[in-house]
Amino acid sequence: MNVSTSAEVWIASLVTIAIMSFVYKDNPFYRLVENLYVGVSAGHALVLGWGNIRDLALVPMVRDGKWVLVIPVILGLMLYTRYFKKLAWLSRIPLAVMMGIGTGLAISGTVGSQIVNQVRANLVKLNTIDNIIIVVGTFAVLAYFFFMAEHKGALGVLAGGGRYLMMVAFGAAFGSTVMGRMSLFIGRLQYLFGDWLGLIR
Amino acid sequence: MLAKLQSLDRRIIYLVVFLSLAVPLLRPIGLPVSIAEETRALHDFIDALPPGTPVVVSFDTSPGGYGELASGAIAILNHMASKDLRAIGMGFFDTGPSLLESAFAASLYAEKEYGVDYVNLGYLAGGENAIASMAKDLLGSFPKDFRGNDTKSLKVMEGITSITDVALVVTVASGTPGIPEWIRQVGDPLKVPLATVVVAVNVPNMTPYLQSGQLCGLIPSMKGAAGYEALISMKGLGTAGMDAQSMSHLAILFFVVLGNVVHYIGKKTGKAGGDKE
Repeated sequence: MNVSTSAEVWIASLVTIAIMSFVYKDNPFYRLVENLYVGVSAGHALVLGWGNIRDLALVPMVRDGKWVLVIPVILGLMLYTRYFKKLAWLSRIPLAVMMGIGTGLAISGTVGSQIVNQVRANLVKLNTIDNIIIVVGTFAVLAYFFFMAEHKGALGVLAGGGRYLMMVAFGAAFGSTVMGRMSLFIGRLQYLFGDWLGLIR
Repeated sequence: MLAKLQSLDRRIIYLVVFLSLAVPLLRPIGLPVSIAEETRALHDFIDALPPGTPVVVSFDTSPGGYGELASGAIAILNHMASKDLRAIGMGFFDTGPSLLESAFAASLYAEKEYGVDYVNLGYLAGGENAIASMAKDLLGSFPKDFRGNDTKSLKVMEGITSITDVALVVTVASGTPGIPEWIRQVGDPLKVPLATVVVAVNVPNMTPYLQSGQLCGLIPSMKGAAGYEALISMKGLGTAGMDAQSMSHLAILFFVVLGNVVHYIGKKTGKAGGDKE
């Protein structure tokens, strides 16, 4: 057993244990560390956000004379008018700009990447079991969400099959979730047993 | 007995799961590791790249997700370093670049020269908009690296002016922005090969992108990392965690079966403790 002498490792380990203690019951150590995490995260985001403003707006404006960048800076500052009752309406303008740009970017990419290319990927030869499952599965799940006709006869059978296929998908997703949560916990245990207590290499 | 099982204290379940994880970590069993097809595809892609080829590694994750992704990210970096590939790091989560620094330090890149063999370009705010901005102007989006150096002056960036100059983008992703955003803004429009180290909960969502060829490879969580470590013959955190992973899955399966059996018996005897139909 080779216990770490690093203050950093001790802090990280004790904070991990404090957070994990919640599974026993709520306690002051857990609440302290939870609040600490929120504060540290906010501070960290603030510092990095300031770095972006400095490198991508202030320095190019002052050093390179790119004064056009004053427009996004003003728009950014306008977000803070929401804290002043009479000027609060101004904050809606930068929000509208952000929503417009964000939506435009997402939609333009979504049509090609997540609709056209996905449909194209389903146009496969029905010469393997995998391909048959993919094509029939797609039609079956789409049939389940087809509400313009009553789910009876062939449509009912197809929609019922789609329902079972979705159940399988939910099961796979749950299994993956369990695996993910266990991986997270293993990562912390490796840190506690290895880096902190020196029980494993 | 039935009543006891129906009202089993959740802390007993936690204890059993803890033991199923802790004991194999302290006393490894050495269960075999399987390698997924998509993990092998990513390994083969990187393995075929000539020395000096630039590869972007984007850390789009927070500490909450990184615990699950660290082993895969370090395995990829180890492989890249062993092939003398240039690693161009960046992040679109504010915590990404800090985690990337620790990943570089834990990988073979720690023995290489910063600014020559690898670089951490830092964080760019704005989510998907930031990825689009970076795709349009890589150097303009990261004028300074994470350590405050002038990006253009770094040797590792020689010949790289656009994201299309890199051979591959690997995103270590646990949320948004993540893989769909990278596909929309970089993979599909610019035809840059994409791969990902992804949290297990997102694996089913990523499968359609693999099937369509929009992703050239994938490392699913710690299990994928163990497979990747086997491929590069460098045992690491992934391999070490696989015994614990398997034993904990057995424990969870046991409780799922037990819960259903108890529920079924309870229903039959009219003493259902859970949902009544």
